Amino acid sequence: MSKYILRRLVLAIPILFGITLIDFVLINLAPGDPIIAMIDPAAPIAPGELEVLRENLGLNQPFFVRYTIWLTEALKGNMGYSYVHSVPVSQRIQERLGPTLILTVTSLLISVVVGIPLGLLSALKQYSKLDYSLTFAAFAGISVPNFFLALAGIYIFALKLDVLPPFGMISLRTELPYTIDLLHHLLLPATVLGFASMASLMRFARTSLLEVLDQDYVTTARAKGLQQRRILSAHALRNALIPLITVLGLRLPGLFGGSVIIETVFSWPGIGKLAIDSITDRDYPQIMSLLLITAVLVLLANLITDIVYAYADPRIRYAD
Amino acid sequence: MNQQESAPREISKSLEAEQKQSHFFQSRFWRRYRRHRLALIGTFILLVLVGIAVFAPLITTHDPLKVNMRDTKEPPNEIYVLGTDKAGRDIWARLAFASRISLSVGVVSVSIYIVIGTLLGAIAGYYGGLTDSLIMRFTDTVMSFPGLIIIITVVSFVGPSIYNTMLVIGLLGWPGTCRLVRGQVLQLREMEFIEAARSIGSPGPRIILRHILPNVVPYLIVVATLGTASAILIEAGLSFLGLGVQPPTPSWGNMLNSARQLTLLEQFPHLWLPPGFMIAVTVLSINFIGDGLRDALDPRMTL
Repeated sequence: MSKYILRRLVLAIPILFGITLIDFVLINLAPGDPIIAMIDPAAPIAPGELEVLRENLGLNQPFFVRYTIWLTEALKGNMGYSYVHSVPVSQRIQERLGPTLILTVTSLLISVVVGIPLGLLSALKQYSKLDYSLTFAAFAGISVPNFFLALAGIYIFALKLDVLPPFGMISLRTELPYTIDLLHHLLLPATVLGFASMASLMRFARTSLLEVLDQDYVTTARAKGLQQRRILSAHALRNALIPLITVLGLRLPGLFGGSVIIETVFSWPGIGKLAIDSITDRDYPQIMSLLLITAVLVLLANLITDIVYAYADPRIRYAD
Repeated sequence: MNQQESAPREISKSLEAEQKQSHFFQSRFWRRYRRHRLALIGTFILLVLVGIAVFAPLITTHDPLKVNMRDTKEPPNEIYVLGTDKAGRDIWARLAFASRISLSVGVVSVSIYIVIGTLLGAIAGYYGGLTDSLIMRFTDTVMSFPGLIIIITVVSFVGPSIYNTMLVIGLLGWPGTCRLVRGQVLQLREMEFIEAARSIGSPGPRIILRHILPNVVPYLIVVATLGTASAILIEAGLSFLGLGVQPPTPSWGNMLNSARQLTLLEQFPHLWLPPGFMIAVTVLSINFIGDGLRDALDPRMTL
């Protein structure tokens, strides 16, 4: 097992390197001259001084020298300063990461708790009316744009029924305890964000259980006279759920991407909204570090997924 | 001698061509596809949508771009079938013309990334070794960036427009296709007919193009169809955020943008319900078609 984990870690290194390289290439492609951005437009500056500044900062060094400098600084946690807010970009990301994790984790929970049981039910009642309706619902779930769903949700639950707040993470003035108030604000955005994952988990759970029920060992269990309930609990369900680990792990980039839209619509103070705000402000250091950090988080999530999968399925860990 | 030989060949050729034409509705593909009822409904709806896009000028009475400040936010009435927007523009006309944008962004961006993904995947799978490792690590790297975040970053560099939207989705969307094609090529590479081609001295590029890729086409058709659906969703999302198709050019996504104001959202559902409905119906029908194609072309395939 430790050999397997080690192999995964070694495989992740070139990808981590690739992520930083692509991020640095993009930084260099970003429009605008970093030197011009640094100087006060009100104070006139001699053209020669610009060159001196460039030299002092090492900006006239070859690409790979600059990349090495940038990478060492980034590893130390220094990813530069926001053009607009004059604070370290890492500080703003730290502030915003919490709300995004609350949102994405809740939406994943909702999609697991709702999606998987419905998918299993769909498989058990294959070709029934229920199966067809759930299949249709799953297709609708991946086809309706999340921002439309968000707007419709706000329209119905916040504006017409007035049972949920239309935006924000906490109320300014409220008698409710913090957690209750947070959950109250969280319910709508997390459900909307989780909709697509719910639909795909449902589809995968259905396919997976149908495949397992078709296996020889299930036929054997049936032949020796086991009851359906026992077949499911002892043989089928656990094996059917294993592939879903991968599906869950693969959802993370989609959730981060989705959070850009959902957080903007719901004014949720997370990294998705930060991304859009940085784009609007043309705050390139901020957006580039966001890109770097989300990519590294996705890489980590994939790594964890692989390891969890190997724990759950011995065939994987003994294969190589 | 020559004539005698060529005559039967001509006949069999024309027979083959005839068979191909007249037997589509009896082909195995069609028989399987027909059984997928949702796919048939999807096909029908998509044909209607393509019809709306092609004949947009004929089926609308108002100019989709013409601002009319006297008739703003009109609810649906006899003059404006679906009402007017904030600037008094006819919503039905804008919806119809927007379908041209959404469908073409979907088709163009997916065509771009299918070409990139197929070439990279085929090269990685066929040549193996270091080439394979390099290409696949590059693919993994690109896949690590959350799609929408890297797309809006690149769009912010090049500026939002229809063509940049197509290009950015096209240039960043290929990793999934690349992985799929590589997987297929790895299997095909070991088959006897490829060994035969290699043993008579066919060069690598020729084997890839003539013998391997034709066998991957069914998979590509399915991937391209489902990909078009998600490309349309991405374009709509970008335009909704103001980073895609720019007004006054109508796109379903940017028509929903005005509903971000809560007062408009509450008081004028006719502003945002129709474009949202159009996106959902379009994407849904393309997804149904993709599912039907998957069943008809290769039932073993899982995506």
